[in-house]
Amino acid sequence: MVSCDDIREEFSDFYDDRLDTDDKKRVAAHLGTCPRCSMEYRSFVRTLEVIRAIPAEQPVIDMWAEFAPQMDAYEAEQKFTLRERVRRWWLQIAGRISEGAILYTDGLAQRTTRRFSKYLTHNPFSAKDR
Amino acid sequence: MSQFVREQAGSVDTDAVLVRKYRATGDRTAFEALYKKYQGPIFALVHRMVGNEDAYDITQEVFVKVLKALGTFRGESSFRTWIYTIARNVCYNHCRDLKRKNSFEEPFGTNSDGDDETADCLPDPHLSVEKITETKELQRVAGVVLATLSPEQRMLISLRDFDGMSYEEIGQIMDLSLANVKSKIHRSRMAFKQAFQPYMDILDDYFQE
Repeated sequence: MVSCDDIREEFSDFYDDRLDTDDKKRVAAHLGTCPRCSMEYRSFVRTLEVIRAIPAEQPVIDMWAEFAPQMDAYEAEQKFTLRERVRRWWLQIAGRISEGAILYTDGLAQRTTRRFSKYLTHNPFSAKDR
Repeated sequence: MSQFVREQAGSVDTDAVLVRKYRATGDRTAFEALYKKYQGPIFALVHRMVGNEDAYDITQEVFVKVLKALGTFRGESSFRTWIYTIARNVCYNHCRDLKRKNSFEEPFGTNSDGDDETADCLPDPHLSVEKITETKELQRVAGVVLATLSPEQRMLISLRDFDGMSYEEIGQIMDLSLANVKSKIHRSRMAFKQAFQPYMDILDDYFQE
């Protein structure tokens, strides 16, 4: 005796016709006798029919016109000699390292400012601070 | 059926010929033909995955990656599944970056794990059925409902039910076994159905009247 839960697990395979003949008969027989599963299956199929009827979104601009310059740049890069490509690659890495060094130094400076701010704002002549 | 198979086989051959032509001669028109053939389907897929705002940029990013990786395409799978695999990776990376950026926000401003977010896509009670049945509104609603699913579920529903791909093709694109594809597609559909139910109820009531 198959349970309703087992049958509902087969809905997708049944809908997509991916069950073998015996399983297909078993699911069909259950749907014929169980009104709840039958209603659930109808609702399942209806949802999929609505999804499939929704037209796909299409781009509203000429995407190729925007892509072509990127392709030009890529093809131009491919024409560089190996030596030039390696040089540009090293320059990119050096740029990244410089960026990292700047960010690290900035972080250090901010931390130092935070740590020492209490000393910088401390007024030795103020009665309150004393 | 046989005509469908012939068409599919024909399109695979055409793609392979275009790829070979571009690789051998650098003929831009060959790549342009591939671009124009796939820009619509890839844009639609990306739109479902990331929403309207980033869809154009992400689609272009997919094609830049395709252009750069064309030399590694060995033709073991069809060009169609290959380009969809690249699109999947780019979309997943984008979703991951977005999640990292705004820890709790996903595309469309919702949470991927989010059953809790389902409430956000409940239909507006003042929305008329005529409005819902408008194509644009249906597309928007489907987008909102899809956004409540995880990126993987979104991708599976898109590939199977919007693009009509076979389980085998989906297995290649998602790098999943056939058994996994079957069970995951079912779970994705059930999750979509659950989130879409409020709209279906409105539509069903309307059509029964």
